[in-house]
Amino acid sequence: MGQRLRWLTLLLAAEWLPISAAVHTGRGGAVVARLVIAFSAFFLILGHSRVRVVLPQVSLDLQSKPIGWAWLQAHAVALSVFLALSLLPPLQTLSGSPVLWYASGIGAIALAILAFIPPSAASQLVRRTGPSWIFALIAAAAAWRLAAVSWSLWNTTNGRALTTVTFDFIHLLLSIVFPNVVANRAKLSIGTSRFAVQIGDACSGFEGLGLVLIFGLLWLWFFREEIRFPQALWSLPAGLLPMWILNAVRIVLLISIGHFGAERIALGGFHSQAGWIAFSGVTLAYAAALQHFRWFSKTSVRPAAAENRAAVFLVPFMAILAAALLTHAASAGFEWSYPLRFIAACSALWLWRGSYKALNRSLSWTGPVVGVAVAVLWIALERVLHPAADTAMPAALAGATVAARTAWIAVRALAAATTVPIAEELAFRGFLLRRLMAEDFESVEPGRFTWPALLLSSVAFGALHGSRWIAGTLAGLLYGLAMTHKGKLGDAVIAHATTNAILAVYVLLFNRWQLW
Amino acid sequence: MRRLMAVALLTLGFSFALPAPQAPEIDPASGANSLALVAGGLVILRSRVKK
Repeated sequence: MGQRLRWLTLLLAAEWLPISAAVHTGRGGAVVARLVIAFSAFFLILGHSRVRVVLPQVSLDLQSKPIGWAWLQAHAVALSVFLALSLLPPLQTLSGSPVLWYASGIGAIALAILAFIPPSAASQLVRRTGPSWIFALIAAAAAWRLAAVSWSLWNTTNGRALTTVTFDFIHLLLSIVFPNVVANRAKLSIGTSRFAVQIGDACSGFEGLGLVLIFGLLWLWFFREEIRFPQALWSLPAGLLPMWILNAVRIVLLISIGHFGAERIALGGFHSQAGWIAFSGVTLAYAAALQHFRWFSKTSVRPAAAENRAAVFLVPFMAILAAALLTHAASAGFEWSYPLRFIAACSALWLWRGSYKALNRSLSWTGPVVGVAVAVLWIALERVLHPAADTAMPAALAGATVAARTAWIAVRALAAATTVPIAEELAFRGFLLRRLMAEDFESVEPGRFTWPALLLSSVAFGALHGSRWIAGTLAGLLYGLAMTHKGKLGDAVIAHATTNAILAVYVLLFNRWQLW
Repeated sequence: MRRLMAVALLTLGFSFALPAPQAPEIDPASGANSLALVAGGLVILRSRVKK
């Protein structure tokens, strides 16, 4: 049962990515999607407790039943109809097609479920959930209404209570930094004589508060057996308050950066990144506090000084991600501080250099061969999927002195061919691929793999490549196979390094700067 | 790990369901980086728990 659900999830997730790019929200799809997400979440939570008893028997029955390929074909047809209708512009839609659009979309999901869980088993499970669907529907409708009410707290046209409180707090903080604050409460504009901003809907901090609340509730629910209640409930306001304060600090810093002459950084990189930096910091601190403080937690943790094997594989990649958030935040369109990522990765690798000596670092020809294949594939996909991408060298780099330009390009190419492949292969193939197969990931020999683990780790790798997620996922698959072919993580690293080195040469020789 | 992935995926899902990401200046690609960072941090935190 578990394996079938994983396949189903994988299929729907793989289909969702291209669909999300094609489907427009002109038919009110966003509202329906929110309702469906809320209903599904409530239904799964409420229904699971009722079907838990029969799950072992259903799982046993499923072992003798093959996957329903006919249902899967019907799913493909329904999905094709849904995609075809999605690609029609809303104004040219034939009357009645919204009904067909919804029917084909919901039908495609239902048919996919029936392919992996046959109708008899699905019917048995649904009947077992009893009236859960009614409660789930009521809860989803209530959540939907609650969302409309909460919208009025921060929407500038329908209420803005939260936005106004945030505005006043920003005013207070800004007054500490600058003697002459220019503020208009009616228009929600605030700043200094040199630089001012208008506090928009999203600036109320509502998004951050919502995400931290969701994260906190999920954490409390999933790890409820390790947590002491009711005192752990205090962690929710304790997590929300710093998030709201950090949002105000973010806007004060933004105004300060703009005031001191870096308007483009303030409104560019800093504006788009600071919220994510705050979210990352608060959620990690929240989880650490719930795990560390005995008042909250029933479990005991190993001392921080003890070697953490997961950290050995993950920290170099995390160092690059953390540095990337900072370098993006400090950029005004072009990332001059990119070398910080290289330094961060080198530092992390140096810190755990003793642990890497124990890894099998022997190499074979598999690495370079796969690396060349991935580079060819990447370039081919780029030409097919992004024919109109801007290939020119970024204006900031082109306008720099020769020394500055050469130094930046050298570090960028060096990082692409060394620290990036090492850090990413340690994280995705060394850790994630094997961790998806066993809790003690180091007990999984690098030569072994299962397709779900390989596919999931490759999709995760692809997801971090933004609009080039297809190329990223395929590259992840091939690097995974490079490692498992002869059981050497080093082959995956060399393959990745070869690809990145070829792409660097391609960027520089053929002026294809969109790949950097 | 499953619970960790569920937390990360559901938070990611809700981040798209919230209205604020529609603000054009918010970079959604950075959300994936941020969530990967959080997920990695959580894995390291959880691996310190004595079973």
